[in-house]
Amino acid sequence: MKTVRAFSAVRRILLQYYSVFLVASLWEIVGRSGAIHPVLLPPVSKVAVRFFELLFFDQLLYHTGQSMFRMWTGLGLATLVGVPLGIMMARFASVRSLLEPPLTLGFPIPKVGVYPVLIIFFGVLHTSKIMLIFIESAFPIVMATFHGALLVEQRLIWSAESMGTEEREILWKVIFPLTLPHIFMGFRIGLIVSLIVVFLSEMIASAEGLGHLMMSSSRGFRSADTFVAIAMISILGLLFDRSLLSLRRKMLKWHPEGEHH
Amino acid sequence: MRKEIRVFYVFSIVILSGLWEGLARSGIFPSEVLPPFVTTLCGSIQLIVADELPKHLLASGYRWAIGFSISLVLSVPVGIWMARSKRVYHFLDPLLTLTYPVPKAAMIPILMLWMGAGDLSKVTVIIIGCFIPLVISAYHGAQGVETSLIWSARAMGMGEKKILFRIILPASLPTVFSGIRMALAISLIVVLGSEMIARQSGLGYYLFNSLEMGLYQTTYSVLIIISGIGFLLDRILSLVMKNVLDWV
Repeated sequence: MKTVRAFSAVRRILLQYYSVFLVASLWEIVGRSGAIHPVLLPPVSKVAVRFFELLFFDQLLYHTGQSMFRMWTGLGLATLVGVPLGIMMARFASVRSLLEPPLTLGFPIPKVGVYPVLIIFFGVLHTSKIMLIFIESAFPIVMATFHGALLVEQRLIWSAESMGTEEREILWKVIFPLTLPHIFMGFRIGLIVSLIVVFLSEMIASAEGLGHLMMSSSRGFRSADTFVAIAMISILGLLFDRSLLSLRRKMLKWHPEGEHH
Repeated sequence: MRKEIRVFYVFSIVILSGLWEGLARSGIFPSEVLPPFVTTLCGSIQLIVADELPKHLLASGYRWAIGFSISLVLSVPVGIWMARSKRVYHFLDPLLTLTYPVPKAAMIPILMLWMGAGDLSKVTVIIIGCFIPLVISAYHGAQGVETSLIWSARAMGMGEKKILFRIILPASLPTVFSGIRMALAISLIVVLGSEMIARQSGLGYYLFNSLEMGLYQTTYSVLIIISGIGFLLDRILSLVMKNVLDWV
């Protein structure tokens, strides 16, 4: 019985992701055939072997740790600052009129452009990269939270007030939960943007991190290693995005938006 | 935009630049590290009018325009096709889900290996970067078209081609536009980023070059220009959106 079930699970995965396996085998065949030089396209199997070699006998874990430290510090700070700021902007007219113009004006500006200025102030080590990630990811988080909190029905707040709920409790029990779907949406964009930015900044100026590993290996024509770095980035991105979606499903069970996806 | 709100915007720009000016003049930072706002703004104007910046502006703009439009032309039909055909959906969906959270900028070194460090690899990375958000938005837009609309069009004898152009495409436009907005932001990051990595020409190159030569004031001036461009593109997009979608 068990083997049958396992077999059908494998079959389901194969059927559902058949295109992925198709592309991977095509890549392997072309890579092995010699039609394209292995430096340009190392076969998948070679990349996989290098992945474990670098993971266990080399510095892949160290570089990954460096990138993740930068990314999560920046993204975490952006969330800690962005969510309360967004809610306050929706709650208090004075905060809104102070912050909405600069945020709306700054939103479409490509923030990578600020990176050189951040280097001037904070140097080329951790701080300038964390600051860049913070700036890039804070914008979508603040704006999504703000727009979400604006949509909270005033009636709900009024009825909570009329029942004698205190301001702080209204924030925690009414506004925050109702804004949560939008916070998740903003955080998801922030997550993807911060992934882009951490690797970009490491590719531009860094001595460690996955972006650095990618650049240094491609400059040395060790392209299998470049693909290893890309694979690691893909795995991490996929892992974070999937866990975020399942966390959202769990936390938003009560909300109609939690049902799909 | 209402008039009073516009006043707020102008006000906040004035305050921010005033803060910058004050901070720079106060002498907390050396003037190379933080040049005063007015000097920087004059520097920006000078760069555009009298210097070699227009050349780099054109180089970046040309790559961006080509990459962005190719991506748009490729991705919208693919997204609509995914919504119309189950087989295409089953083929592409796992590939898209797997690659969606991968930062496409990571492809820059590989693309440089394949296509050299010139325009081709930079344009390609823009195409790839914009492709997935555009496909996904076109798919969701076309997917959201009410089936009853398509049925009634068919019942009235409308051909499949006409249904595609008269019903499905217009109905998915609002969603496509939100994808375009996301792709715009990503494409600007990728244009500048790729120029900062493989430095030959373009705004990203100019920005980093000035940093490395210690011409910090130029760095700030270029930054002002980049901000202006990002803001302008976004305004143009929302104007187009308002005009195209006036029936919504």
